[in-house]
Amino acid sequence: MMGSRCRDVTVPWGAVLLAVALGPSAALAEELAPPPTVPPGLTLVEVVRELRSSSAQWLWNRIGDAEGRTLLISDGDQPGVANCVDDCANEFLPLLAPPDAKAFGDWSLVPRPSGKMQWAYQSRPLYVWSQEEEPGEVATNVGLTETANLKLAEDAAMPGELLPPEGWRVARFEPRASMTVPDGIDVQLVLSAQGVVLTDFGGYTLYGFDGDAADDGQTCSDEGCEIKWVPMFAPALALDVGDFSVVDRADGSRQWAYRERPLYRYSGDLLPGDVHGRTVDDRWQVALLTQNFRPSEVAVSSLEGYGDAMSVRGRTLYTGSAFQKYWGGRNLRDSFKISYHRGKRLGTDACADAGCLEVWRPFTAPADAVSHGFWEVFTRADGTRQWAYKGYAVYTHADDTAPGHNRGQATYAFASLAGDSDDLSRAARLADVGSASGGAGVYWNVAKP
Amino acid sequence: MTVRGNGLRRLIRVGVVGLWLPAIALAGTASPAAAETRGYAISMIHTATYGDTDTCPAGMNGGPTEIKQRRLMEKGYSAEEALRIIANDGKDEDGNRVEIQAPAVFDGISTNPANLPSLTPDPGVKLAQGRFALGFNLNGEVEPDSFEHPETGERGIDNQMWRVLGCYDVYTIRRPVRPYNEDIAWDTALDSMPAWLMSVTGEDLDSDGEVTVAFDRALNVAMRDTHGGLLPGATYVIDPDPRSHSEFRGRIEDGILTIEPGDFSIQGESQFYALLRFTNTQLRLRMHSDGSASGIIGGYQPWKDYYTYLAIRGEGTAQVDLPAVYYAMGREADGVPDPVTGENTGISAAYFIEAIPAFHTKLSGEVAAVSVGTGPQYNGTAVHYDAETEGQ
Repeated sequence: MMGSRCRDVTVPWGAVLLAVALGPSAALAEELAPPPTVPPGLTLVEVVRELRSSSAQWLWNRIGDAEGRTLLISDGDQPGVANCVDDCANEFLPLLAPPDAKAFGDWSLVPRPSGKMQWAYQSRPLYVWSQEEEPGEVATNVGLTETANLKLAEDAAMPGELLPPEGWRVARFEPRASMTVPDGIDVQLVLSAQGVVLTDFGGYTLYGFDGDAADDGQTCSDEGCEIKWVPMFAPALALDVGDFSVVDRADGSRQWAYRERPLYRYSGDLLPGDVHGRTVDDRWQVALLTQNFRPSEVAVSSLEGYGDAMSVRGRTLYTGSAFQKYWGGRNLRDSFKISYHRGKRLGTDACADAGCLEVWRPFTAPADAVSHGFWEVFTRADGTRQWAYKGYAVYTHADDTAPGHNRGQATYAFASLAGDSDDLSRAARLADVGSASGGAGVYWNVAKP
Repeated sequence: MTVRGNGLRRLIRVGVVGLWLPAIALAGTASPAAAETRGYAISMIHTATYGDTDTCPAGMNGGPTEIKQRRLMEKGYSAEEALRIIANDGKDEDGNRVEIQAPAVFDGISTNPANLPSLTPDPGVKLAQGRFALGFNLNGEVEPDSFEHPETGERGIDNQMWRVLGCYDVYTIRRPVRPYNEDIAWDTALDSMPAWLMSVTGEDLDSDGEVTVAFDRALNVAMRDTHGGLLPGATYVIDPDPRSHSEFRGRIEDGILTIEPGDFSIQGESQFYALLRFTNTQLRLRMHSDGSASGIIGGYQPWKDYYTYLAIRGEGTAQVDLPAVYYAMGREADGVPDPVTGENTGISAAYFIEAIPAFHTKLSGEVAAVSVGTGPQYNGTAVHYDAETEGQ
């Protein structure tokens, strides 16, 4: 058994299925929806380790404030109690919740002496360190320091000097830590599912079945086997654990269920993180514990031959990054990892002039949009607001005229090598953001989940 | 007319991935009169170099050492002092680091001059001259300074790319030696870059006649064989993205495949050729008895495409003086004038290209081209000298 604290997931995903099947009202459906992965106004950030000419390595996920700044937790606090006050609170700024904020799941509210409420994650009050200048630099430094002794084939970025002082730690996003789950089952943020999901020990997505495991049709006969959904078998001596129970199959074998929903793998999921079973059969649904925020009408679409990409109203979404000298990988499964901080530095400058904007259309954010999860709100030079995903401003492409088009994918727009002051300034800036020793420009790729 | 006697269809090689699909397709297209489409994967491509003793009568541009030496001498060091500094990892006799090349600075941002070459004074470059160069007569004229094809004897060869690069050590070579920087770029890119494909369609590809030639990019990366080259007979799925599809009317005559000029464009990988594109594209490929093809493709290439490729490689592996090449490319560009400024944006160029048999399928799984022939034992980066495949 793993984990120490029980998670209070407000509503199970299975209840949502049942509610939908029974035709609930819109209000009820909203009430029964999986809770958000993080509260509105808080962000999720992937911490990566940069290498010289290879795609950066993902290390772990962290929580950020609306600007993506590193959030810290203090060893001086007790669960549900914030002891950092007075001078301490001047240096470590409590992450205050809006007046209408409500606790849910791993997210709770801790009172401040002022009467305001402070967000806490897994009971640990959250703070922003006033010394951090660039959003996320503290977390990145921690990640680089932790992995400094890794033997790598090529040079890695060196950590900066700004590390949390003693007694303070980076608030990592670790949904697994607050759940009690059986051996062999894990809890992971699955990007293609856009949420926290139950997985097997190998990271393969689990699906819940709206029916009886003994009558699921996933059996073999004399004519052969047609097992599309692979039961998540439980050991013969397994006992119920927390929300997990053991159910019997028709052949006498035993299977794990979560909140009474038998759990399965989908045979078409070939790699950890695949969610290919999401639209196969309504009776099997991704075992989704929380749901990532997405702007209105944004979805995960499958681009034939390219895998999953974010889209809005069926149109593929793209991000432009300052060109970095990476070897390959731009068309593979996860595209290539690019550092959050480089996207933040670039802001909305991947596409700024009129000619570029004829091709690349900023995905605008409404006036009341707030940063949430992997989505942040950037402000363009003309005052309009633009959605950014994982630190990178997001665009659609003018030549994409139908769902599934990706005419902007893998487009490399060279910076001008000569020209007027604006041209040279842009080339210098792109070279600087991308640390390019040559070939400064913008590299456009589909926004991978 | 040449009919290569053994009937290559009998040599259909079964792909490792697409084992049964092609067989089914062929069963349905067995009529000898039906058009056939043969598929290929590009196993090697690099600039077509032809260095000989006449190439650089004005002298060579050297390599990294000579480039650094010239820069140090411009700062007042003697030739010997410069070499000592270079040998001493860029430090002088007192152990102080010497700035060999000043960074380009703009808006307070200091960056490699490769990003802003126009801020560096033109260092100059010795141009390739001589009689021979590989390539094509792109403008249809025989000019006093145009080259002669060393193998076909065709005159009026336009290859200003060669003129700019040909006197750098790394390019003053001839097959089977390949330009070092392009060799390693291609070899590394192969394992992560979607494969480049070619197909030829015609009534009888073993005989002379009209054909259609298409180039596409695959969705899957190239598959290697045990020698490190490409695996003949492998199966690739064609990327339906039209940005990497080029199609030409062509002809096979005496085993040589040529095309009618047109536009060519294929997406690559940004450390290699981010985008390989030509206007007025020409092709001359010898169709080999083992089912492979090799020869030259060329046309007017946007010179900034190639400069950017070199800049990404960096002077360490590109082994050229980047600002010098930047200026020379702009000066020697000879095609595709900008409609506003009139400056030529294209430079005549030629590339060696080698293709081995491969199956192509559409996304649906339908076979689009079949792999015919065994292909050479060695190909691509694994190739060794073979008189049959030497040049065109």
